Amino acid sequence: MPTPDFDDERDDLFEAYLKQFRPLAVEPLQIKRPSRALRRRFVLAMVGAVAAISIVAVFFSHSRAGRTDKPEAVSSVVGVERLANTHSLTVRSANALLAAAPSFEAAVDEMAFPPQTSPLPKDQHSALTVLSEERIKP
Amino acid sequence: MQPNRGDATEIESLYRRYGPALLLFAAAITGERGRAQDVVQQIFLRLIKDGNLRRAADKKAYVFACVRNEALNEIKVLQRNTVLEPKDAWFNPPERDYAAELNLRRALCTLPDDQRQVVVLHMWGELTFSEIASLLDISSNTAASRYRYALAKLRESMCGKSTCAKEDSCANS
Repeated sequence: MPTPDFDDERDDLFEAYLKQFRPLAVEPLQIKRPSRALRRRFVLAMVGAVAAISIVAVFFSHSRAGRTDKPEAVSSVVGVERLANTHSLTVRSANALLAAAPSFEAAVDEMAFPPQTSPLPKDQHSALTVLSEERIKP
Repeated sequence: MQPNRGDATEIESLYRRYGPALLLFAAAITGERGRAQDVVQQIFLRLIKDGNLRRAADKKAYVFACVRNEALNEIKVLQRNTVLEPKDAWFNPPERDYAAELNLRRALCTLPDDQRQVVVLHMWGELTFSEIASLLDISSNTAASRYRYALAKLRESMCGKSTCAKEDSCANS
């Protein structure tokens, strides 16, 4: 360490002496970063929230499915029957009916009330047919 | 404006490099090491948060200017006179000469504010007179003359004290 000469007018020696005094170190910069424990707690909370939402969603979907099973079954049966009984009215079938029917009214009746096309078994008879054929004795 | 990761790294690098000189500079204004530490921390945290550093042409001078403004604001808030009586050490003295450290600290505190700031900025902050001039809004010549006056007063003040550790050496040389 050079000996300072305070009586000397030379600034450089005095400066060199002063520069040997080093400013004290500064404390570490306190940047607020989330701690590891805090991050772990956050992750756990997120996992818990996702699990709770999943459970609630599954519960609701199951309860809704149980409530709608029967009506859906009934409606599906009815729908199938309706589909079986309905005859699709197309331009071609309407033209065919008009051509075959004796009159316009009969064709319209045929379109509105289509005849029962399902044939009965041989040993069975339609009640309407039987009654229509029965002769009423005077 | 949000800083990116590179900005934060650069700011932390500046803090490590110039932190001690900035701390001394703030202490030379406020007179208290604890308050000076708070000032420097606040400035750097603000720089990280706002990302203003990237707009500065001379980052080192900009940080010193920020610390100066903040330290002066602290004094204003406290409405305190500029008489400094620091209790905590400011320096690591050579050869653990703590009496010399106290001597230097007291001598610095006897300087007028403007001279003390200049001598700290030039000697320990390693700022040029040109940088000091723009920071303090004075001419380079004024900065240089203040520095010379400050050195003369320091020399006089430190040699005149009985606690001067190098008094004998001075006298003998």
